[in-house]
Amino acid sequence: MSKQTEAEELHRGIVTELRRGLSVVLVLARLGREQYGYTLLKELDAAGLAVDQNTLYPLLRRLESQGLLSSTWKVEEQRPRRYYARTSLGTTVLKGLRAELAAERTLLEEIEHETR
Amino acid sequence: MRHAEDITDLFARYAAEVGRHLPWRGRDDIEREIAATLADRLDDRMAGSGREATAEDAAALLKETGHPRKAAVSYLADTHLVGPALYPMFLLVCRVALPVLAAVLIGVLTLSAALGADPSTGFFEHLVRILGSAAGGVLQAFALIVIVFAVMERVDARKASAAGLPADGAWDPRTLPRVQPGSKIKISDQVAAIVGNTIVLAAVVLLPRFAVRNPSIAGRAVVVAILSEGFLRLLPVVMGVAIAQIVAAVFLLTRRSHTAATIAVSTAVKVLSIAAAGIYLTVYPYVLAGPGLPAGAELGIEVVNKVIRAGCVLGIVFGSVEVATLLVRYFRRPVSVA
Repeated sequence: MSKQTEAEELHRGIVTELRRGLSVVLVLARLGREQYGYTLLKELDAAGLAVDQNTLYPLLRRLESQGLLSSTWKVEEQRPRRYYARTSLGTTVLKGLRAELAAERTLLEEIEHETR
Repeated sequence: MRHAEDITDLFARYAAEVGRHLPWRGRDDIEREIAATLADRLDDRMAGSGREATAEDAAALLKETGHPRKAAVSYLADTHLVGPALYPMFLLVCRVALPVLAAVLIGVLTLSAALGADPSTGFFEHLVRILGSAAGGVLQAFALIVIVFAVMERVDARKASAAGLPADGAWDPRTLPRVQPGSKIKISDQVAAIVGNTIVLAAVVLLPRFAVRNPSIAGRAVVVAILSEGFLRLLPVVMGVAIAQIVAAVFLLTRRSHTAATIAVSTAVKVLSIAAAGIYLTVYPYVLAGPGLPAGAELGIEVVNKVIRAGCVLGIVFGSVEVATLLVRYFRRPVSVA
C-alpha cells in the first residue's frame, strides 16, 4: 500500500469517526419536530451531511434504545412509516452537546491560530 | 400493477434477508422500516422520470444500498459477545485460568498415564495423547468462560464490570501499589514457565516407563531404557525443581508487579534451578543412555546430551544474572510517588 493510499484511508477513517459524533448532534437537533427516517435522510443530505440509509437507521435505533428518541408507527399513503421525535432526555443531552461543541470550536480556532 | 407487485416483493425479500442476520428482538420493525424507506427512495427517484418504476429500477436501487449482510452489519456495530466494559476482566480470567488449567491437566494426565498405561505403547504416542486431551480441556474451559461473560454482557455489563470496585469517590489513589522501573511481571514468561516445566515433568515421568524397542539385538525385540541410570537417580531433584517452577509461575501470574514476596519466591526458585543444574553437570551429565539402542542412535544421543549440557551451562550463567538483578531490585528503595 502506497503512503498516499494509506493516508487517504486513515483520513477517511478519522472523518467517519468525526461524522459519527456530529451526526448524533444533527439528528437530535432535527428531531425537535416529529418526522420519519426518509425525510430526515433528505434533510441531512440537503444540509451537507450525506448519511446513507444503513448509517442513519441504526443510529436512530441506538438513540431510541438510549431513551433520547421515541418512535411511533403511522400509515401514510398506504405505507407504514416510523416517526421519530426527541424526548425530554434527548433535549437535555442535546443542550449539553451544543455547549461541548461550542467549547471545541473555540479550541479548534485556538489550534488553528497557533499553527498558522 | 405487475411491476408494483414485483417491486414490493423484491423490497420485502431484501428486508427479510437483512433481518435474517439480526437479533430476534426488534427485527420486524427494522424490516418494515427498510422496505418502506426503499419504496420512498424509489418513488423519489422515479418522480422526475415520467415513467413507472420497474423491477430493474428496484434492483438497481438495492445494489446501490448494498448487500443485505452489509446492511445488517451496520445494525450490529454496537453488539459484542463480550463488550469493552467486561473485556479487561475477561482477559484477566483467561490469562490466569487457562495456563493454570493447562498445567494441571497435563500433570494429571501424565500421572495417570505413568501409573496405568501400557509401557509397550510409544512414549511420543502418549505425549501426543496427553497434549491433545489437555488442549481439548483448555478449549472447553475457554468456551465456558466466553459463555459466562456473554451472559453477563447481556444481563447488565456495566453492573458486572463494576462488581468489587469501590464507589467513584471512595477509593484512595495513594493506596495504589508502588511501581519500580522494570518491575512488571511478564505474563508470557510465566505461561512459558508453566507449559515448559509441565512438558519437562511429563517427559521425566513418562520416559522411564516407556522404552525403545530394538529389534536388532539377537534377532528379537528387546526393551531398553532410554534414560541413563545416573540420571534416573537425579530424577527426584529434576521433578522437584520443575514443580517448584510451576508453583512459582502460578503464584507470579496472580501478581501484576514485583513485591518483596514475588522477588523472594523468584530468587529461591532460580537458586534451586542453578543448584540442580550444577549437580547434574558435576555428578552425571548424561540424560540419555546409549548402549542397547538401535544402530546409529549413539551419535544422536551424544548430540542431545551435549545440547542439554550446554543448556545447563547457559542456564547457570543467565540464572545467576537474573538472581543478581532480582536481589538488586529487592534492596533498591521504591520510587516515591509523592
